[in-house]
Amino acid sequence: MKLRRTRLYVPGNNPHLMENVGLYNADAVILDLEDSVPVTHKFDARILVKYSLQNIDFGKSEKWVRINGITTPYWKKDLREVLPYCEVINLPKVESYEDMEMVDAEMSIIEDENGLERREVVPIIETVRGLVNAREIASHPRVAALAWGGEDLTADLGIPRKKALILDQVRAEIVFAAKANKKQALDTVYSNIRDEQGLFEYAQRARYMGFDGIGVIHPNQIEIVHQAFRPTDDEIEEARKIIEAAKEAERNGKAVISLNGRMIDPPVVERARKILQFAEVE
Amino acid sequence: MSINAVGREVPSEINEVKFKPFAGDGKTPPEGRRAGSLIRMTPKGRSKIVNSLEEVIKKVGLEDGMTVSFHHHLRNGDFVVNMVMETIRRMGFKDIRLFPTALFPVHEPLALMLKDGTIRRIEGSMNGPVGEAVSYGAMRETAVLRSHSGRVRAVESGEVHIDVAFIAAPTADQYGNLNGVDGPSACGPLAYGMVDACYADHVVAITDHLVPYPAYPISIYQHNVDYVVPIDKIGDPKGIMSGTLRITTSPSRLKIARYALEVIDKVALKPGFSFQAGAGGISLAVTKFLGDLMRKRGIKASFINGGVTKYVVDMLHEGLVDVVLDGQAFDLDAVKSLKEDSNHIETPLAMYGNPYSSGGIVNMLDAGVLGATEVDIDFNVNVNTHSDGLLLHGIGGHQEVAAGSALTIITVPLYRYRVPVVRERVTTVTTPGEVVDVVVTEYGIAINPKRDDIVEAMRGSKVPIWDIQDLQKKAYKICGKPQEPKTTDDIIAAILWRDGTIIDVVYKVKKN
Repeated sequence: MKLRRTRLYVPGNNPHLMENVGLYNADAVILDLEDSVPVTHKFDARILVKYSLQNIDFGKSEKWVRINGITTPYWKKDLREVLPYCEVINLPKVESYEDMEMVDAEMSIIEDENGLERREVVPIIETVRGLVNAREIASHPRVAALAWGGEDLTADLGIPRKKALILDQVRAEIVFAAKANKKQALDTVYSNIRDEQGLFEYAQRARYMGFDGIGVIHPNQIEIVHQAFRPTDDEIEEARKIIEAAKEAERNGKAVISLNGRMIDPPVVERARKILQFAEVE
Repeated sequence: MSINAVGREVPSEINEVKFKPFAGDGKTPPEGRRAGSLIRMTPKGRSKIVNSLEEVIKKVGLEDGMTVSFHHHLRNGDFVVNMVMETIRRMGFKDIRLFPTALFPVHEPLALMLKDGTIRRIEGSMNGPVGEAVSYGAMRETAVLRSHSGRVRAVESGEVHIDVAFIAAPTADQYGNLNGVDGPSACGPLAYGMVDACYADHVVAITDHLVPYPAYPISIYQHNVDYVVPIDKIGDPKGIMSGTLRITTSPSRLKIARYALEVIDKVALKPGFSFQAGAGGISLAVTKFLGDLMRKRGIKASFINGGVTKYVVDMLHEGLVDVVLDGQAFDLDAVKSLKEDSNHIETPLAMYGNPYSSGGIVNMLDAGVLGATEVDIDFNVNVNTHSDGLLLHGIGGHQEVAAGSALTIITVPLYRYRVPVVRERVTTVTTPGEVVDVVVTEYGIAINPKRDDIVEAMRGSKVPIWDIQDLQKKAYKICGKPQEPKTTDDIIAAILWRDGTIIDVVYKVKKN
């Protein structure tokens, strides 16, 4: 599974902010056609993003595009222009499995016409209905990960974002929905770009809630989030022992893995693999 | 005309004065004896206080064609240069040679005095509008730009003789003892003015803070000062502290700073090391990150040479550095520390990096981080002109830090506003590639091939290491090949290496 600790949102109508995106080592870069682009710039931004995807060096970052939602008149045109050049479609305000089916069908047509490999989708859950249907949405084969957005969701709930008491339950539901379908769970952004300590704590908390990454809105946030997702030395040491024990059991043809007299279950081995993956990239 | 050691065609004469072509750092030995100033006497009981600029100009006997000097500690808040020059203009003097340590945008009114003949030529750094005017041919004679220490060398050797030095003094007593740490226009050290005070035929202090005798501390002493002119205001404190004083928040500039830090860490960082600090967003970030790293590693520096800012002062107070050597203060924290901390020492510019001396501070530096407007594939650096050929910046201490420091790092973005900064050939050579070790960009670093030791030290680093030509090609791939500036054959300025040889010239820019 790809590392998606950080996904950097970049407005799709600002070339100055796009030109160096490959330098910052975000796991993914999202060129945004949705909320950061005013209605009057939707057309220009779509063309700019299309050419940026082809010409800008994204470094090691995965190329994502957040297109406009399926209730807008823009999403099909967005897909047609950008799908050939990006790897993942970030789809806002997904509310049901049927929404995914509709987008899937449109993507399949474009992929067939252009001879493209199948692209992945990361739906964003931003409504109460979407949240209720999150497990079904995550089960769609196009879905690589499940993300969520706090502003729209709290608005839909009719509560102020800063005073909302329900967000940890929302987070838990996103994690359950994603993990039940063996998909990644992605937390939302931390919007105070000056508060490094707050960001670190937020990202570490996301990690321990079961998220695989968070969104970032400024390149200076990336390294801090990667640090927060970096396993501790103890975790790495423990994971190494578990993987070694698993290899040992495999060599000896044993079905049961044990370490220091303790039985190790397969999910624990999987978690150890993930920890080492997180550790090795650093 | 001849071709110098960096391949530039340079004249043998500027303003009918002979100059040698640049032959390489340290390749042109000094000649002769130090120059001297007029021996003069202030009789016992005679007051040095003069109540107007006009009167003092009469007293010093200013004549057409003479050389007047100024220091730039008041930076973009300086009132003194414009005030004195306007008085000189009003009194009808012509053909003055202006010899400032640097000029700033606030000095734009001087451009008019180039036109009306008050000023014959400027020999000094020109930051901004005056440089721009000169680039388009506003000056009758050719400008001569020297580095900070190159200017000291020129004065000491007699290459430039100062007739009258006008010294802006944030604090003075009535008998001419001066300092920069007190008063409403406090600027910190008066390091740039010290050589002028010693070598000028007449020295005039201009102050807005007259204190009882004796002023203390003393930066410039009474025996070198002939007159003291009290005025209402010598400067605007906001403009005096006008360096770039905030750490950059640009992610690409921060990346440059982190790469520079990694190079310092691998090559120079050790207990007791020393480095050159400065203002400017990247430089401040390097200083701060270096402080963080030293704290983490438990490493203490022996000294920091400044350009002093709050970040340096904090390191001094925290005990991360033993001594701060200060030629220029960029904020009020630096001014306060210079006044109060005994291990924060004001250093005369003559001590900074004059090659024709018994050794400068720069010779003791382990690492120096410098900026540039352009860098080329021979590691030559331009800090004077922009890619359109306009002369918009002075040399500052760039040459001496590059030449003196054991590790010289140039931090630059790969391109600015879609114009490549790393290029095949710089528009103007200010500092030759032979004294530049590493070029750091947001895309990675290029190491001067002659520094095998740095190549070896950086082995295993995560910082991307490029051949400088590949870095230049990358810049051209993103931006396209830059156009040459549109210039005429007229030379409007000579850029001197710190030893007084001509390293390059600047040509007149055609107006569109």
